[in-house]
Amino acid sequence: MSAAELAYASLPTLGARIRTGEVTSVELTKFFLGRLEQLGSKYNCVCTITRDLALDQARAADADLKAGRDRGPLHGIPYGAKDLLATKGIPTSWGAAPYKNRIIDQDATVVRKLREAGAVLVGKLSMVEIAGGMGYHQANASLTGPGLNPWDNERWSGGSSSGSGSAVAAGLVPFAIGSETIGSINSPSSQCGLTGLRTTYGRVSRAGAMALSWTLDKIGPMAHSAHDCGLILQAIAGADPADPSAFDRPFVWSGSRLPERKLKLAILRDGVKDAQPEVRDQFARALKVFEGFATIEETTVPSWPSGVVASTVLHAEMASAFEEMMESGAVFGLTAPEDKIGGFASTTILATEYLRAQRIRARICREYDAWLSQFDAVLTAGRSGTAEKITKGLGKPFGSKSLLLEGNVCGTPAVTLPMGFDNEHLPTSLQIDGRAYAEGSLLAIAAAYQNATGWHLEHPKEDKSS
Amino acid sequence: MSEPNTTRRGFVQGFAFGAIAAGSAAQADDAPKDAKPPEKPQLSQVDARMALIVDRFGKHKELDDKALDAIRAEVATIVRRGEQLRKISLENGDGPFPVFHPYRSSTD
Repeated sequence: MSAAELAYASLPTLGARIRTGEVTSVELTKFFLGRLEQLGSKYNCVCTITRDLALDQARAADADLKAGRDRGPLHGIPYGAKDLLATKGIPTSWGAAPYKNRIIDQDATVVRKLREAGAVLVGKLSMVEIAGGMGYHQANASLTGPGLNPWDNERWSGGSSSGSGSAVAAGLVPFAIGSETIGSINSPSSQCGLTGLRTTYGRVSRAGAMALSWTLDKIGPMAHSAHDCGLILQAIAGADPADPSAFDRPFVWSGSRLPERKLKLAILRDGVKDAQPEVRDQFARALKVFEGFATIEETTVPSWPSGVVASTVLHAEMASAFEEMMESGAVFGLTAPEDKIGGFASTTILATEYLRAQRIRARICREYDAWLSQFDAVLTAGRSGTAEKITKGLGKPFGSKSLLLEGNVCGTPAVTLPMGFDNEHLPTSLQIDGRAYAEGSLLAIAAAYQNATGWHLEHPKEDKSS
Repeated sequence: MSEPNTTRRGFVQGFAFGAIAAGSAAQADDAPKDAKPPEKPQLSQVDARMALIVDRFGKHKELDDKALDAIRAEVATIVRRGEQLRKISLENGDGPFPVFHPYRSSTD
Protein backbone atom coordinates (compact mmCIF):
# COMPACT_ATOMS: atom_id res chain seq x y z
CA MET A 1 0.00 0.00 0.00
CA SER A 2 1.48 3.37 -0.99
CA ALA A 3 1.76 6.25 1.47
CA ALA A 4 -1.04 8.07 -0.36
CA GLU A 5 -3.28 5.01 -0.16
CA LEU A 6 -2.52 4.59 3.52
CA ALA A 7 -3.25 8.27 4.21
CA TYR A 8 -6.77 7.95 2.79
CA ALA A 9 -7.58 4.33 3.62
CA SER A 10 -10.97 3.55 5.12
CA LEU A 11 -11.23 2.58 8.77
CA PRO A 12 -12.05 -1.09 7.96
CA THR A 13 -9.00 -1.22 5.67
CA LEU A 14 -6.71 0.20 8.34
CA GLY A 15 -8.23 -2.09 10.96
CA ALA A 16 -7.76 -5.15 8.76
CA ARG A 17 -4.10 -4.28 8.14
CA ILE A 18 -3.46 -3.90 11.85
CA ARG A 19 -5.14 -7.23 12.60
CA THR A 20 -3.26 -9.13 9.92
CA GLY A 21 0.00 -7.65 11.19
CA GLU A 22 0.80 -5.87 7.92
CA VAL A 23 1.19 -2.71 9.94
CA THR A 24 1.24 -2.12 13.68
CA SER A 25 -0.64 0.63 15.42
CA VAL A 26 2.71 2.18 16.36
CA GLU A 27 3.79 2.25 12.70
CA LEU A 28 0.47 3.69 11.62
CA THR A 29 0.60 6.27 14.39
CA LYS A 30 4.13 7.32 13.44
CA PHE A 31 2.99 7.64 9.84
CA PHE A 32 0.14 10.01 10.72
CA LEU A 33 2.22 11.90 13.30
CA GLY A 34 4.77 12.48 10.54
CA ARG A 35 2.10 13.81 8.22
CA LEU A 36 0.71 16.11 10.91
CA GLU A 37 4.19 17.42 11.68
CA GLN A 38 5.08 17.87 8.02
CA LEU A 39 1.81 19.25 6.64
CA GLY A 40 -0.24 20.49 9.60
CA SER A 41 1.11 24.03 9.48
CA LYS A 42 0.50 24.23 5.73
CA TYR A 43 -3.25 24.11 6.47
CA ASN A 44 -3.15 25.83 9.89
CA CYS A 45 -5.02 22.79 11.12
CA VAL A 46 -3.14 21.68 14.23
CA CYS A 47 -3.12 23.14 17.72
CA THR A 48 -1.16 20.40 19.49
CA ILE A 49 0.44 17.21 18.25
CA THR A 50 0.12 14.61 20.99
CA ARG A 51 3.15 12.49 20.02
CA ASP A 52 3.97 10.97 23.42
CA LEU A 53 0.39 10.17 24.31
CA ALA A 54 -0.24 8.76 20.83
CA LEU A 55 2.73 6.43 20.92
CA ASP A 56 1.76 5.22 24.41
CA GLN A 57 -1.78 4.52 23.21
CA ALA A 58 -0.52 2.83 20.04
CA ARG A 59 1.83 0.59 21.99
CA ALA A 60 -1.07 -0.34 24.29
CA ALA A 61 -3.24 -1.09 21.24
CA ASP A 62 -0.60 -3.37 19.78
CA ALA A 63 -0.09 -5.12 23.12
CA ASP A 64 -3.84 -5.61 23.49
CA LEU A 65 -4.12 -7.26 20.09
CA LYS A 66 -1.18 -9.52 20.85
CA ALA A 67 -2.95 -10.55 24.03
CA GLY A 68 -6.14 -11.25 22.12
CA ARG A 69 -8.00 -8.15 23.30
CA ASP A 70 -9.67 -6.54 20.29
CA ARG A 71 -11.50 -3.34 21.15
CA GLY A 72 -13.41 -3.13 17.88
CA PRO A 73 -13.29 -1.32 14.54
CA LEU A 74 -11.26 1.68 15.79
CA HIS A 75 -8.62 -0.40 17.55
CA GLY A 76 -5.17 1.07 16.92
CA ILE A 77 -6.40 3.74 14.49
CA PRO A 78 -5.19 7.34 14.91
CA TYR A 79 -7.58 10.29 15.02
CA GLY A 80 -7.68 14.02 15.75
CA ALA A 81 -9.99 15.92 18.10
CA LYS A 82 -11.31 19.44 17.69
CA ASP A 83 -9.52 21.54 20.28
CA LEU A 84 -12.68 22.17 22.26
CA LEU A 85 -12.55 18.67 23.71
CA ALA A 86 -10.71 18.52 27.02
CA THR A 87 -7.69 16.22 27.21
CA LYS A 88 -5.91 15.44 30.46
CA GLY A 89 -2.41 16.92 30.56
CA ILE A 90 -2.65 18.46 27.08
CA PRO A 91 -3.61 22.06 26.29
CA THR A 92 -7.19 22.74 25.20
CA SER A 93 -7.40 26.17 23.62
CA TRP A 94 -10.93 26.40 22.20
CA GLY A 95 -9.13 28.00 19.25
CA ALA A 96 -8.74 31.14 21.33
CA ALA A 97 -5.48 32.94 22.09
CA PRO A 98 -6.44 33.72 25.72
CA TYR A 99 -6.58 29.96 26.39
CA LYS A 100 -3.58 28.95 24.31
CA ASN A 101 -1.72 27.07 27.04
CA ARG A 102 -4.64 26.25 29.30
CA ILE A 103 -4.86 22.66 30.50
CA ILE A 104 -8.20 21.24 31.57
CA ASP A 105 -7.13 18.28 33.63
CA GLN A 106 -9.72 15.78 32.49
CA ASP A 107 -10.63 13.90 29.36
CA ALA A 108 -13.88 14.74 27.61
CA THR A 109 -16.20 11.75 27.60
CA VAL A 110 -15.86 11.38 23.83
CA VAL A 111 -12.05 11.28 24.17
CA ARG A 112 -12.34 8.66 26.91
CA LYS A 113 -14.75 6.56 24.84
CA LEU A 114 -12.43 6.64 21.86
CA ARG A 115 -9.51 5.62 24.05
CA GLU A 116 -11.57 2.71 25.38
CA ALA A 117 -12.38 1.77 21.78
CA GLY A 118 -8.64 1.54 21.13
CA ALA A 119 -8.35 4.70 18.99
CA VAL A 120 -5.15 6.73 19.20
CA LEU A 121 -5.25 10.50 19.71
CA VAL A 122 -2.54 12.05 17.53
CA GLY A 123 -3.52 15.71 17.63
CA LYS A 124 -5.77 18.47 18.85
CA LEU A 125 -7.11 20.19 15.77
CA SER A 126 -7.65 23.88 15.08
CA MET A 127 -10.99 25.56 15.20
CA VAL A 128 -12.56 28.97 14.87
CA GLU A 129 -12.11 30.71 18.21
CA ILE A 130 -14.91 29.94 20.68
CA ALA A 131 -16.49 27.83 17.92
CA GLY A 132 -17.57 31.00 16.18
CA GLY A 133 -19.81 32.05 19.04
CA MET A 134 -18.64 35.65 19.00
CA GLY A 135 -19.95 36.16 15.48
CA TYR A 136 -16.81 36.01 13.30
CA HIS A 137 -17.15 36.96 9.66
CA GLN A 138 -13.73 36.20 8.26
CA ALA A 139 -11.55 33.12 7.92
CA ASN A 140 -8.82 34.58 10.12
CA ALA A 141 -10.60 34.04 13.42
CA SER A 142 -8.44 31.51 15.21
CA LEU A 143 -5.23 31.51 17.20
CA THR A 144 -3.77 29.22 14.53
CA GLY A 145 -4.72 31.47 11.61
CA PRO A 146 -7.33 30.85 8.93
CA GLY A 147 -8.15 27.21 8.25
CA LEU A 148 -6.77 26.45 4.80
CA ASN A 149 -8.37 24.04 2.40
CA PRO A 150 -6.35 21.08 1.06
CA TRP A 151 -8.22 21.33 -2.24
CA ASP A 152 -6.90 24.87 -2.75
CA ASN A 153 -4.65 26.36 -0.14
CA GLU A 154 -5.93 29.87 -0.84
CA ARG A 155 -9.43 28.92 0.19
CA TRP A 156 -11.08 28.52 3.55
CA SER A 157 -11.63 25.08 5.05
CA GLY A 158 -14.94 26.10 6.61
CA GLY A 159 -15.74 26.42 10.28
CA SER A 160 -15.88 26.16 13.07
CA SER A 161 -14.40 22.62 12.92
CA SER A 162 -11.79 23.94 10.46
CA GLY A 163 -8.83 21.81 11.53
CA SER A 164 -10.93 18.65 11.62
CA GLY A 165 -11.97 19.37 8.03
CA SER A 166 -8.48 20.15 6.70
CA ALA A 167 -6.71 17.37 8.58
CA VAL A 168 -9.01 14.61 7.37
CA ALA A 169 -9.18 15.97 3.82
CA ALA A 170 -5.37 16.19 3.63
CA GLY A 171 -4.98 12.64 4.93
CA LEU A 172 -3.25 13.80 8.12
CA VAL A 173 -5.63 11.76 10.28
CA PRO A 174 -8.01 8.97 9.24
CA PHE A 175 -10.90 10.65 11.05
CA ALA A 176 -11.64 13.52 13.39
CA ILE A 177 -14.21 14.61 15.90
CA GLY A 178 -15.96 17.91 15.26
CA SER A 179 -18.83 19.75 16.85
CA GLU A 180 -21.79 21.69 15.54
CA THR A 181 -23.92 24.34 17.16
CA ILE A 182 -25.25 25.68 13.86
CA GLY A 183 -23.32 24.44 10.83
CA SER A 184 -19.85 23.71 12.24
CA ILE A 185 -19.67 20.12 11.00
CA ASN A 186 -21.65 20.83 7.84
CA SER A 187 -19.48 23.74 6.67
CA PRO A 188 -15.98 22.17 6.83
CA SER A 189 -17.29 18.80 5.64
CA SER A 190 -18.85 20.52 2.64
CA GLN A 191 -15.85 22.66 1.81
CA CYS A 192 -13.26 19.93 2.32
CA GLY A 193 -15.15 17.13 0.54
CA LEU A 194 -15.71 14.98 3.63
CA THR A 195 -18.52 12.99 5.11
CA GLY A 196 -19.63 14.62 8.33
CA LEU A 197 -22.37 13.58 10.69
CA ARG A 198 -24.30 16.06 12.78
CA THR A 199 -25.69 13.78 15.44
CA THR A 200 -29.05 13.99 17.17
CA TYR A 201 -28.78 16.36 20.15
CA GLY A 202 -27.72 14.22 23.11
CA ARG A 203 -26.56 11.24 21.04
CA VAL A 204 -22.95 11.95 22.05
CA SER A 205 -22.03 13.22 25.51
CA ARG A 206 -20.69 16.77 25.61
CA ALA A 207 -19.06 16.40 29.00
CA GLY A 208 -15.62 17.98 28.75
CA ALA A 209 -16.47 19.82 25.55
CA MET A 210 -16.51 23.63 25.48
CA ALA A 211 -20.08 24.79 25.93
CA LEU A 212 -21.13 27.40 23.42
CA SER A 213 -24.84 26.69 23.67
CA TRP A 214 -26.06 24.01 26.08
CA THR A 215 -29.20 23.29 24.10
CA LEU A 216 -27.70 23.46 20.59
CA ASP A 217 -24.20 21.91 20.78
CA LYS A 218 -23.68 18.48 19.23
CA ILE A 219 -20.56 16.37 18.72
CA GLY A 220 -20.01 14.20 15.67
CA PRO A 221 -17.53 12.45 13.41
CA MET A 222 -15.88 13.78 10.26
CA ALA A 223 -14.38 11.12 8.03
CA HIS A 224 -13.96 9.85 4.48
CA SER A 225 -17.23 7.93 4.22
CA ALA A 226 -20.64 7.33 5.73
CA HIS A 227 -19.52 3.84 6.69
CA ASP A 228 -16.58 5.24 8.66
CA CYS A 229 -18.91 7.74 10.38
CA GLY A 230 -21.17 4.88 11.43
CA LEU A 231 -18.27 3.00 12.99
CA ILE A 232 -17.11 6.10 14.87
CA LEU A 233 -20.58 6.99 16.11
CA GLN A 234 -21.01 3.46 17.42
CA ALA A 235 -17.96 4.03 19.64
CA ILE A 236 -18.89 7.47 20.98
CA ALA A 237 -22.69 7.36 21.35
CA GLY A 238 -24.49 6.77 24.59
CA ALA A 239 -25.64 8.04 27.95
CA ASP A 240 -23.24 9.71 30.35
CA PRO A 241 -23.90 10.67 33.96
CA ALA A 242 -21.68 13.71 33.40
CA ASP A 243 -24.01 15.05 30.69
CA PRO A 244 -27.71 14.84 31.54
CA SER A 245 -28.64 15.58 27.92
CA ALA A 246 -26.88 12.43 26.68
CA PHE A 247 -29.49 9.73 26.18
CA ASP A 248 -29.37 5.98 26.39
CA ARG A 249 -30.63 4.90 23.00
CA PRO A 250 -28.47 2.24 21.43
CA PHE A 251 -26.77 2.93 18.12
CA VAL A 252 -25.40 -0.07 16.29
CA TRP A 253 -24.01 0.56 12.83
CA SER A 254 -25.13 -2.31 10.68
CA GLY A 255 -23.64 -1.07 7.43
CA SER A 256 -25.32 0.30 4.37
CA ARG A 257 -28.40 -1.90 4.44
CA LEU A 258 -31.41 -0.09 3.06
CA PRO A 259 -34.97 -1.25 3.66
CA GLU A 260 -36.50 -3.65 1.09
CA ARG A 261 -39.13 -1.09 0.08
CA LYS A 262 -38.35 1.89 -2.11
CA LEU A 263 -37.35 4.87 -0.02
CA LYS A 264 -39.33 8.07 -0.07
CA LEU A 265 -37.04 11.09 -0.28
CA ALA A 266 -37.93 14.76 -0.51
CA ILE A 267 -36.28 17.74 -2.13
CA LEU A 268 -37.18 21.36 -1.56
CA ARG A 269 -38.98 23.28 -4.31
CA ASP A 270 -36.53 25.71 -5.95
CA GLY A 271 -34.00 24.51 -3.39
CA VAL A 272 -30.94 25.02 -5.60
CA LYS A 273 -32.36 27.64 -7.97
CA ASP A 274 -29.96 30.32 -6.71
CA ALA A 275 -27.02 28.04 -6.00
CA GLN A 276 -23.66 28.09 -7.77
CA PRO A 277 -24.37 26.62 -11.24
CA GLU A 278 -22.10 23.61 -10.69
CA VAL A 279 -23.82 22.88 -7.38
CA ARG A 280 -27.14 22.94 -9.21
CA ASP A 281 -25.81 20.57 -11.89
CA GLN A 282 -24.23 18.16 -9.42
CA PHE A 283 -27.42 18.13 -7.35
CA ALA A 284 -29.44 17.18 -10.44
CA ARG A 285 -26.95 14.36 -11.15
CA ALA A 286 -27.17 13.19 -7.55
CA LEU A 287 -30.94 12.92 -7.80
CA LYS A 288 -30.54 10.56 -10.77
CA VAL A 289 -28.51 8.28 -8.51
CA PHE A 290 -31.11 8.38 -5.74
CA GLU A 291 -33.85 7.58 -8.23
CA GLY A 292 -32.23 4.15 -8.47
CA PHE A 293 -33.52 3.24 -5.02
CA ALA A 294 -36.00 5.92 -4.02
CA THR A 295 -38.93 7.99 -5.12
CA ILE A 296 -38.26 11.70 -4.91
CA GLU A 297 -40.99 14.15 -4.06
CA GLU A 298 -40.63 17.89 -4.43
CA THR A 299 -41.99 19.70 -1.42
CA THR A 300 -42.10 23.07 0.31
CA VAL A 301 -40.76 23.68 3.79
CA PRO A 302 -43.35 25.27 6.05
CA SER A 303 -42.29 28.68 7.23
CA TRP A 304 -41.06 28.41 10.80
CA PRO A 305 -39.37 31.25 12.69
CA SER A 306 -36.26 29.10 13.04
CA GLY A 307 -33.80 31.92 12.38
CA VAL A 308 -34.96 34.22 15.14
CA VAL A 309 -35.30 31.31 17.57
CA ALA A 310 -31.83 29.96 16.76
CA SER A 311 -30.23 33.40 17.09
CA THR A 312 -31.89 34.21 20.38
CA VAL A 313 -31.13 30.84 21.98
CA LEU A 314 -27.56 30.71 20.72
CA HIS A 315 -26.68 34.27 21.70
CA ALA A 316 -28.32 34.14 25.12
CA GLU A 317 -26.58 30.88 26.02
CA MET A 318 -23.27 32.09 24.59
CA ALA A 319 -23.48 35.30 26.60
CA SER A 320 -23.98 33.30 29.75
CA ALA A 321 -21.28 30.73 28.93
CA PHE A 322 -18.72 33.47 28.25
CA GLU A 323 -19.86 36.12 30.71
CA GLU A 324 -16.64 35.82 32.72
CA MET A 325 -14.55 36.15 29.58
CA MET A 326 -16.25 39.46 28.79
CA GLU A 327 -16.22 40.61 32.41
CA SER A 328 -12.49 40.00 32.78
CA GLY A 329 -11.61 41.46 29.40
CA ALA A 330 -9.99 38.21 28.25
CA VAL A 331 -12.28 38.45 25.22
CA PHE A 332 -10.09 41.27 23.86
CA GLY A 333 -7.33 38.72 23.35
CA LEU A 334 -9.30 36.99 20.60
CA THR A 335 -7.99 37.19 17.04
CA ALA A 336 -10.78 38.58 14.85
CA PRO A 337 -11.64 42.23 15.67
CA GLU A 338 -15.37 41.46 15.46
CA ASP A 339 -15.01 38.62 17.98
CA LYS A 340 -13.50 40.92 20.58
CA ILE A 341 -16.76 42.87 20.83
CA GLY A 342 -19.26 40.40 19.37
CA GLY A 343 -20.58 39.03 22.66
CA PHE A 344 -21.46 42.15 24.61
CA ALA A 345 -24.78 42.92 22.95
CA SER A 346 -26.04 39.42 23.77
CA THR A 347 -25.70 40.08 27.51
CA THR A 348 -28.83 42.23 27.17
CA ILE A 349 -31.15 39.51 25.88
CA LEU A 350 -34.03 39.39 28.34
CA ALA A 351 -34.90 36.21 30.19
CA THR A 352 -38.42 36.45 28.78
CA GLU A 353 -37.02 36.69 25.24
CA TYR A 354 -34.86 33.63 25.76
CA LEU A 355 -37.73 31.64 27.25
CA ARG A 356 -40.13 32.76 24.56
CA ALA A 357 -37.65 31.53 21.95
CA GLN A 358 -37.43 28.20 23.76
CA ARG A 359 -41.23 27.92 23.93
CA ILE A 360 -41.55 28.64 20.22
CA ARG A 361 -38.72 26.17 19.61
CA ALA A 362 -40.72 23.38 21.29
CA ARG A 363 -43.59 24.07 18.95
CA ILE A 364 -41.28 24.10 15.90
CA CYS A 365 -39.80 20.76 17.00
CA ARG A 366 -43.22 19.11 17.04
CA GLU A 367 -44.26 20.56 13.70
CA TYR A 368 -40.89 19.84 12.08
CA ASP A 369 -41.02 16.22 13.18
CA ALA A 370 -44.54 15.85 11.79
CA TRP A 371 -43.35 17.33 8.50
CA LEU A 372 -40.23 15.15 8.36
CA SER A 373 -42.21 12.02 9.20
CA GLN A 374 -43.68 12.03 5.67
CA PHE A 375 -40.28 11.11 4.25
CA ASP A 376 -37.37 8.81 4.91
CA ALA A 377 -35.04 11.77 4.44
CA VAL A 378 -34.76 15.18 2.81
CA LEU A 379 -32.03 15.96 0.28
CA THR A 380 -30.58 19.44 -0.09
CA ALA A 381 -27.32 20.92 -1.32
CA GLY A 382 -24.89 20.85 1.60
CA ARG A 383 -23.90 24.37 0.72
CA SER A 384 -24.92 26.78 -2.00
CA GLY A 385 -21.36 27.24 -3.26
CA THR A 386 -17.86 25.88 -2.91
CA ALA A 387 -15.07 27.14 -0.64
CA GLU A 388 -14.40 30.89 -0.57
CA LYS A 389 -11.02 32.55 -1.02
CA ILE A 390 -9.63 33.41 2.40
CA THR A 391 -9.04 36.96 1.26
CA LYS A 392 -12.78 37.48 0.90
CA GLY A 393 -15.31 37.88 3.68
CA LEU A 394 -17.59 34.98 4.45
CA GLY A 395 -20.71 36.41 2.85
CA LYS A 396 -22.53 34.01 0.58
CA PRO A 397 -22.51 34.90 -3.12
CA PHE A 398 -25.07 32.16 -3.78
CA GLY A 399 -28.18 30.92 -2.04
CA SER A 400 -29.93 27.63 -1.55
CA LYS A 401 -32.71 26.31 0.61
CA SER A 402 -31.57 24.07 3.41
CA LEU A 403 -32.74 22.64 6.71
CA LEU A 404 -29.68 23.89 8.55
CA LEU A 405 -31.62 26.09 10.95
CA GLU A 406 -34.55 23.73 11.49
CA GLY A 407 -32.22 20.76 11.97
CA ASN A 408 -30.11 22.54 14.55
CA VAL A 409 -33.01 24.18 16.36
CA CYS A 410 -34.73 20.79 16.59
CA GLY A 411 -31.58 18.77 17.31
CA THR A 412 -32.11 16.38 14.41
CA PRO A 413 -29.31 14.58 12.58
CA ALA A 414 -27.91 15.21 9.11
CA VAL A 415 -25.14 13.76 6.98
CA THR A 416 -23.06 16.02 4.74
CA LEU A 417 -21.20 14.24 1.94
CA PRO A 418 -19.29 15.01 -1.24
CA MET A 419 -21.31 15.34 -4.45
CA GLY A 420 -18.71 15.98 -7.16
CA PHE A 421 -16.74 19.07 -8.11
CA ASP A 422 -17.14 22.54 -9.52
CA ASN A 423 -15.19 23.85 -12.51
CA GLU A 424 -12.17 24.59 -10.31
CA HIS A 425 -12.19 21.07 -8.88
CA LEU A 426 -13.49 22.18 -5.50
CA PRO A 427 -15.90 19.83 -3.71
CA THR A 428 -19.64 20.40 -3.82
CA SER A 429 -21.78 18.71 -1.21
CA LEU A 430 -25.07 17.09 -0.51
CA GLN A 431 -26.95 17.01 2.79
CA ILE A 432 -29.32 14.32 3.99
CA ASP A 433 -31.58 15.37 6.88
CA GLY A 434 -33.90 13.18 8.89
CA ARG A 435 -35.87 12.77 12.09
CA ALA A 436 -34.34 12.60 15.54
CA TYR A 437 -32.40 9.37 16.18
CA ALA A 438 -32.33 8.51 12.45
CA GLU A 439 -28.53 8.51 12.12
CA GLY A 440 -28.51 4.84 11.10
CA SER A 441 -30.89 5.24 8.18
CA LEU A 442 -29.35 8.56 7.06
CA LEU A 443 -25.89 7.00 7.02
CA ALA A 444 -27.24 3.98 5.13
CA ILE A 445 -28.73 6.28 2.48
CA ALA A 446 -25.44 8.20 2.28
CA ALA A 447 -23.48 4.95 2.00
CA ALA A 448 -25.74 3.74 -0.83
CA TYR A 449 -25.05 6.99 -2.69
CA GLN A 450 -21.32 6.69 -2.04
CA ASN A 451 -21.28 3.07 -3.24
CA ALA A 452 -22.91 4.24 -6.46
CA THR A 453 -20.76 7.32 -7.10
CA GLY A 454 -17.35 7.07 -5.46
CA TRP A 455 -17.05 10.83 -4.94
CA HIS A 456 -15.84 10.17 -1.40
CA LEU A 457 -12.81 8.35 -2.83
CA GLU A 458 -11.49 11.52 -4.50
CA HIS A 459 -8.80 13.31 -2.53
CA PRO A 460 -6.75 16.49 -2.96
CA LYS A 461 -3.50 16.18 -4.86
CA GLU A 462 -0.59 16.49 -2.49
CA ASP A 463 1.90 19.26 -3.18
CA LYS A 464 5.20 17.37 -3.24
CA SER A 465 7.16 20.56 -2.71
CA SER A 466 5.94 21.03 0.83
CA MET B 1 -12.71 69.62 36.25
CA SER B 2 -14.17 66.71 34.45
CA GLU B 3 -14.31 66.54 30.73
CA PRO B 4 -17.61 67.23 29.03
CA ASN B 5 -19.70 64.18 28.30
CA THR B 6 -19.06 64.20 24.60
CA THR B 7 -18.23 60.55 24.08
CA ARG B 8 -20.92 58.05 23.17
CA ARG B 9 -20.10 56.12 26.34
CA GLY B 10 -20.64 59.26 28.40
CA PHE B 11 -23.85 60.10 26.59
CA VAL B 12 -25.30 56.65 27.22
CA GLN B 13 -24.31 56.79 30.89
CA GLY B 14 -25.75 60.25 31.26
CA PHE B 15 -28.97 59.26 29.54
CA ALA B 16 -29.46 56.28 31.80
CA PHE B 17 -28.74 58.16 35.00
CA GLY B 18 -30.86 61.06 33.79
CA ALA B 19 -33.77 58.71 33.29
CA ILE B 20 -33.48 57.44 36.82
CA ALA B 21 -33.24 61.00 38.17
CA ALA B 22 -36.34 62.09 36.25
CA GLY B 23 -38.26 59.18 37.76
CA SER B 24 -37.19 60.19 41.25
CA ALA B 25 -38.19 63.80 40.73
CA ALA B 26 -41.67 62.78 39.70
CA GLN B 27 -42.13 61.05 43.04
CA ALA B 28 -40.88 63.95 45.16
CA ASP B 29 -43.30 65.05 47.92
CA ASP B 30 -42.90 68.75 47.24
CA ALA B 31 -44.04 68.59 43.62
CA PRO B 32 -47.11 70.81 43.03
CA LYS B 33 -50.29 68.70 43.13
CA ASP B 34 -51.78 70.26 40.01
CA ALA B 35 -48.61 70.15 38.01
CA LYS B 36 -48.69 68.20 34.76
CA PRO B 37 -46.96 64.88 35.17
CA PRO B 38 -43.50 65.10 33.68
CA GLU B 39 -43.12 63.59 30.25
CA LYS B 40 -41.73 60.11 30.37
CA PRO B 41 -38.18 60.10 29.18
CA GLN B 42 -37.93 58.68 25.71
CA LEU B 43 -35.49 55.94 26.56
CA SER B 44 -35.56 53.45 23.74
CA GLN B 45 -34.93 49.76 24.35
CA VAL B 46 -31.65 50.11 22.49
CA ASP B 47 -30.54 53.02 24.70
CA ALA B 48 -31.55 51.17 27.85
CA ARG B 49 -29.68 48.03 26.88
CA MET B 50 -26.65 50.05 25.82
CA ALA B 51 -26.67 51.68 29.24
CA LEU B 52 -26.52 48.23 30.82
CA ILE B 53 -23.54 47.32 28.67
CA VAL B 54 -21.67 50.50 29.48
CA ASP B 55 -22.49 50.14 33.17
CA ARG B 56 -21.18 46.58 33.30
CA PHE B 57 -18.38 46.59 30.78
CA GLY B 58 -17.50 50.24 30.30
CA LYS B 59 -14.43 49.65 32.46
CA HIS B 60 -12.74 48.10 29.43
CA LYS B 61 -10.87 50.77 27.49
CA GLU B 62 -11.27 48.66 24.35
CA LEU B 63 -14.96 49.58 24.29
CA ASP B 64 -14.34 52.91 22.62
CA ASP B 65 -16.83 54.87 20.54
CA LYS B 66 -16.25 52.77 17.45
CA ALA B 67 -16.76 49.53 19.38
CA LEU B 68 -19.89 50.89 21.06
CA ASP B 69 -21.30 51.86 17.67
CA ALA B 70 -20.84 48.29 16.46
CA ILE B 71 -22.35 46.88 19.65
CA ARG B 72 -25.27 49.28 19.37
CA ALA B 73 -26.06 47.91 15.91
CA GLU B 74 -26.12 44.40 17.36
CA VAL B 75 -28.30 45.50 20.24
CA ALA B 76 -30.74 46.97 17.74
CA THR B 77 -30.86 43.58 16.02
CA ILE B 78 -31.53 41.87 19.35
CA VAL B 79 -34.36 44.30 20.09
CA ARG B 80 -35.86 43.59 16.66
CA ARG B 81 -35.59 39.85 17.30
CA GLY B 82 -37.39 40.29 20.62
CA GLU B 83 -40.20 42.11 18.82
CA GLN B 84 -40.41 39.33 16.25
CA LEU B 85 -40.63 36.72 19.00
CA ARG B 86 -43.38 38.60 20.81
CA LYS B 87 -45.45 38.74 17.62
CA ILE B 88 -45.74 34.95 17.67
CA SER B 89 -48.72 34.07 19.79
CA LEU B 90 -48.29 31.42 22.44
CA GLU B 91 -50.68 29.73 24.84
CA ASN B 92 -49.96 29.43 28.53
CA GLY B 93 -49.41 25.72 28.03
CA ASP B 94 -46.72 26.28 25.38
CA GLY B 95 -43.76 25.48 27.58
CA PRO B 96 -40.14 25.00 26.64
CA PHE B 97 -38.80 21.47 26.60
CA PRO B 98 -37.63 20.85 30.14
CA VAL B 99 -33.91 21.11 30.62
CA PHE B 100 -33.71 20.78 34.38
CA HIS B 101 -33.32 17.41 36.07
CA PRO B 102 -33.26 16.95 39.82
CA TYR B 103 -29.86 15.62 40.75
CA ARG B 104 -28.83 13.08 43.32
CA SER B 105 -25.35 11.66 43.39
CA SER B 106 -25.26 7.92 42.89
CA THR B 107 -22.67 7.60 45.65
CA ASP B 108 -25.08 8.11 48.58
